Amino acid sequence: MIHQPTTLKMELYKLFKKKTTYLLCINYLVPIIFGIGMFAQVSFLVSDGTDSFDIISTQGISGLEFINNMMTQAHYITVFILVVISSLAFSGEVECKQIDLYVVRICNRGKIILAKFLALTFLQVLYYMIFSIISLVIYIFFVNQSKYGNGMIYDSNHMQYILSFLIRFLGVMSITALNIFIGMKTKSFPCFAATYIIWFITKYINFFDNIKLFIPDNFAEYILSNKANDFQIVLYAGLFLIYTILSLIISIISFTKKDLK
Amino acid sequence: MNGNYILEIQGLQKSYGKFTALKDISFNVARGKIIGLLGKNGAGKTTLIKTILGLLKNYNGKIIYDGTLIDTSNPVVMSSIGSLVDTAFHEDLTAYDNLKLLMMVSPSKVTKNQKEDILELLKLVGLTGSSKSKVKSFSFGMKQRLALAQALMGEPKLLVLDEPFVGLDPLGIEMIKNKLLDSCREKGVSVIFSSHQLSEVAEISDDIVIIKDGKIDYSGTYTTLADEAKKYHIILNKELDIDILKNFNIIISDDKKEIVINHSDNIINEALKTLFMHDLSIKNITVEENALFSFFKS
Repeated sequence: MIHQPTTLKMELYKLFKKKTTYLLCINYLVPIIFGIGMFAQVSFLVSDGTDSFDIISTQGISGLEFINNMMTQAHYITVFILVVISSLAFSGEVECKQIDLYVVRICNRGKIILAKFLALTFLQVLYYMIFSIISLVIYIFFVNQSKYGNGMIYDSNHMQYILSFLIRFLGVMSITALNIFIGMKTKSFPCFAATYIIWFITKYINFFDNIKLFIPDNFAEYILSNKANDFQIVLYAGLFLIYTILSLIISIISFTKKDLK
Repeated sequence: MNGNYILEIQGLQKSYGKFTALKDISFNVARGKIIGLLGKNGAGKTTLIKTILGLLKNYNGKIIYDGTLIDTSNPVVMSSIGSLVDTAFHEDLTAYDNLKLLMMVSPSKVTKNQKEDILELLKLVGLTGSSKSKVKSFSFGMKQRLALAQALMGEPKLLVLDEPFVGLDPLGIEMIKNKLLDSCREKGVSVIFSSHQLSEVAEISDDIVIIKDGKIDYSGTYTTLADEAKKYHIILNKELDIDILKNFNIIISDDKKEIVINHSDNIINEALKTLFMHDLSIKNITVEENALFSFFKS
């Protein structure tokens, strides 16, 4: 009998064989450029010119804080590339009809969606792991050798950084699930554009105090500002997980009923 | 249900909203036989093929495969059906990778030596030298061959092929035709394929199904169809007195010097006798035999 790991393995094989997947490597330049910039004290490399983020003004950062800052810097482009990859993985395959043969062979459309989602999630985990390792290496060899490093990997806020990252990761997962859901009805480019625009708009919901925390990225920042308690974190993490699960369930139901003309 | 048939289609109906694409389609595919599906663009051939493969949902009627109602959710059942539909590949991957991906989800091949099986399939369709080439560098003919390799994966009992000859050069057509005939003769594989290539359909099909506006227009052997559509064009030396042949079902030209008789009416001998009896000499007789083309035109 065929089983889920085979479908997942197939999706992973496909994902890692495609060049678009490796676009994510562009993001690894972010910690490298910033780290070297801090080491060499090149101000235009280490400041984004706004008040909201300016590494130069942050004196004595820890390794974890550096990783967190770099992830924040790379977040827009990371989500952009992940949405491109995700759009091609599902909507693109439906559009180009590559999925038809797999639907006939695998015989379980839900399994296909789940395998695609899990493969994309695995890619995201791997990407963030490598990003963290690169950032840490850069911190140790460059940032920590400059006046901006404080010589510590962790600091007193380390739990906030970790929790903030996990919430942001849940946000990326829900965007991936949303992208699959949108891909059910649209071609790959509109699917990519719609998903990215929705994500972008939700970033600016922080103007509306009542609902801003319902957006993972906003809640991640809320955690960093030391305002969130444990109960809130569990509650909102659960909510963000529900976004993902709900999108996936609706996608699976729609795809199961869909005519692949 | 009949054990002689690998596939039985009974009263199949498929609609998209108010548009009915398939109307009460019924026919059978005998084991080890080749069925050619013919029809103009939009006739419903691809819809029929996609419905059989489970790509289209919510249809009425029955599709019986190997004696039981087809279970498109059973990978073991579906892996015994090779399919070629919408020749679409991961173009930035190699031919080998494209086959490997499909093999990874084909139940009968999970435990076998995948690499050897893939190379064997590529050899079978004449793509050994291109196994490491990206599909985007392939000609259309090479893609069709690769699609056939995908269809042949897992030793299928039934091949369901949508336009396998489209875009191929004569050599490519010959190659695919021979592979299909070999599969039938040597392994007893049944084939159902749609095509616009009238001559290929006539040449390799045991039976022909002609679909027109979502309905079956003809189902049977090519010989019967050819006989049904065969026409005799008789050109006379002088004008015909219409009354002489008034009891025959014939078409007379405006100048009354040419008559057309359908072979299926079985009146050619009688008509000729009558013409000779009335001293009408015949200048020329031609037989129009392009049966499938006639059906296509109608």
